[in-house]
Amino acid sequence: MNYKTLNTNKLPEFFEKIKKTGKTVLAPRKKGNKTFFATFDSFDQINFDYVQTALSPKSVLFPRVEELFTYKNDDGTYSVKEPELKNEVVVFGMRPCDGVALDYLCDFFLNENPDKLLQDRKNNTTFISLACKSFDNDCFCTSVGSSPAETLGSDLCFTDMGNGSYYVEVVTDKGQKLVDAFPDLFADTKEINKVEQLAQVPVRFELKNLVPKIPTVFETNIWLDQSLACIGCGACAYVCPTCSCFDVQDECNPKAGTRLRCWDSCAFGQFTLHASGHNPREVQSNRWRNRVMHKFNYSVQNMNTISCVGCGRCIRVCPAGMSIIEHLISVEEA
Amino acid sequence: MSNFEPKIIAFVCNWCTYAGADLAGTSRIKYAPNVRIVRFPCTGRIDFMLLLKALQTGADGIIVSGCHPADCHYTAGNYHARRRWIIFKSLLDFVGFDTGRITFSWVSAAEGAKWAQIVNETVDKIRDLGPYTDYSNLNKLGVGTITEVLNARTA
Amino acid sequence: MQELHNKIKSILENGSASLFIAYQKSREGKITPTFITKPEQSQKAYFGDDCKQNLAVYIHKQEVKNFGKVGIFANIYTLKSLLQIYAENQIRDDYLKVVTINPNGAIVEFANFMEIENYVNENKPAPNPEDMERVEKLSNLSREERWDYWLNELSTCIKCYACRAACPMCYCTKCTVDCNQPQWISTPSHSLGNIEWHIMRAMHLAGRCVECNECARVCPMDIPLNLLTVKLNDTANIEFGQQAGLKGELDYALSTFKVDDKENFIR
Repeated sequence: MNYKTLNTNKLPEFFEKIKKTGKTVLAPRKKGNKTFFATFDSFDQINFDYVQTALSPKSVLFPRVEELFTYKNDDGTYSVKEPELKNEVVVFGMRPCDGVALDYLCDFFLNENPDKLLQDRKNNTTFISLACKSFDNDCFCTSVGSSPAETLGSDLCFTDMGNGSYYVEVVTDKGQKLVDAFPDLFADTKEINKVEQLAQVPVRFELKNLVPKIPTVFETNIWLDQSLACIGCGACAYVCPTCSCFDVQDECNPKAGTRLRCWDSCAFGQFTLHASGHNPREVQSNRWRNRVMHKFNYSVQNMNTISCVGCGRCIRVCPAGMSIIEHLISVEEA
Repeated sequence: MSNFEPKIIAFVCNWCTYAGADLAGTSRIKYAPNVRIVRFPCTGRIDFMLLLKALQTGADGIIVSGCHPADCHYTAGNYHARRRWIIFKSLLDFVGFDTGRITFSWVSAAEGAKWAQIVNETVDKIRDLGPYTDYSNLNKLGVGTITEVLNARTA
Repeated sequence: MQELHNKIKSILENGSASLFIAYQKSREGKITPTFITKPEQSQKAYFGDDCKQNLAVYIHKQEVKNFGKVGIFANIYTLKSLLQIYAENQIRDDYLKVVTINPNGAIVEFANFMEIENYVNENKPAPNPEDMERVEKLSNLSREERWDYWLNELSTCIKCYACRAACPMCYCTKCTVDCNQPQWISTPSHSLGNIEWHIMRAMHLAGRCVECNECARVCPMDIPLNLLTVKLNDTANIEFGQQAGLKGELDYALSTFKVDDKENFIR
């Protein structure tokens, strides 16, 4: 890995220069009390005062609605067109946990049957994470095997060293390319111990105890107790950086049509509803159990990793204030 | 826009306005050919979503028409419809639809001439207003982003 | 608070409910619903001005219904919702034990919905001035500006349906948006699908919304959804003199009519 430094007051110039190369920069901006990734126009719009963005950067790779292809029928002659993704994007300000999530997401979409659209998007995007200086009660990255020092899944990782400069870890070739494009902004440096500068997120549960424990409580009432408050919206899945479920919708008329891929959530009753009317996950506790089992058991079985990165977004967004941390602790203690 | 011919969708009830339109035909009253009539059992049956679907699929104007008050074949369907239109019109106005493009009318089975007049006047009005693309263009817009909201707010 | 705990305890002990739904406050100060089934857990219950969630939403939940008789601690909006749900014949008097704290801090237990109706009318919450102001401000914009505003806001909707899930008045077992024959509403969260969805939602809540503002509170994208239903409630009130959540008998603007309703817009 290469190491660089960037003067903090050079950041606006960095963004402006990327913008001039025709790339889109996505950076955190405030709407109400929340922070979202929005297209960078001017530096003063950027919000640096956030623990975590409300939505994860997964939508850059896996948008909430995306065109898979369109087709046309010109009097019996059919033509199909697949989208061409050329827009190059730089995402700035995601957290290290988001990088871990992107790594999982790419593993999911690109390993066995590579998804061309996601691959193209990945090739066109450079992810810059900004290591956490603060955390809140809903952060639990250190409980799920990650930390604010994590660099996995990021192309570049920035750490504000508190001395007027960013310490930049160049994680991937894509990151190196971006740094190399602006040699006057970045200076070489050696590896620095950055941990002191970072948030010290407390460990809330022992993952190595929890993972084997979860399947043993499958048939218990614990899921019902935990999910009585669940009102069955899909907010947790939609803000989750690793939730990858989707639904395919065709929108067509006799002349033309589009096939779309849209986010879906296992919290919805319709997610598992059969055409016969039977629903194998009949009540909300079944759906909640599936969500937790998927994150901490099924993905371990299928992909050899848990699929929760501890970003805490599901806790912050939940209309009923449900906390997966508390639920996992109660499983651990069960 | 001189050769713009508006597309008008008319949602009408079977018992009064449809019969009125029929009378206009049998009386050989000439009126603008821009209107496509959709016949319903009653104005009470006309779901507001149908009006949206018409706008989405390219209607430039809409006529909704049924029996005069106290004349409903089912006694009160038109009264219920009238309330629904008051609420729906208020919502469309608030969201910023051009509600001037929707004509509500009562046309009885005996009012062939009134039907012709309503259609002609609506077509003239919509011809002046031009095509309505706010809503039908939505499916070309794709996915909205937070950037657009934030930029609009600071503008 | 002690009084509330005792009340919940006695309700669970004397069998007038086997589940009591209330608020609790976590160590970190977060307010969440709590589901109390044992009398000794009663001290979990908490009440303060920060208890915003409308708990009435839970009485529609199958797993809550499975408990049989349910007790619920209701803030004023929850009371209004329960009354409206009762007026719409969705709950029975004898399956619900409703408790609130009146403005003087005293515990009130309602024997039936008649009492809730009286209480709600005596303690009617004033319309939120901020919302009224925003509705007014939007109404005074030009049509094109309003369209741009709502198009921008609603286009960001991610269709998580938290607005629907959090709303006690959205209790249909099958929502229009879930129907696909015919597909009334396009389910993808593109601009068209979003605007269709929110117009449909607002229409179905017109004159039924109790203005608890849960839809706006829970929206992950911070879309001020409540303004749509607040506006339609205003219309229903001005045009038909009807207000939701104040009567135990059905008085829904769109299920009835008056012969002399406004007609000046009809030719």
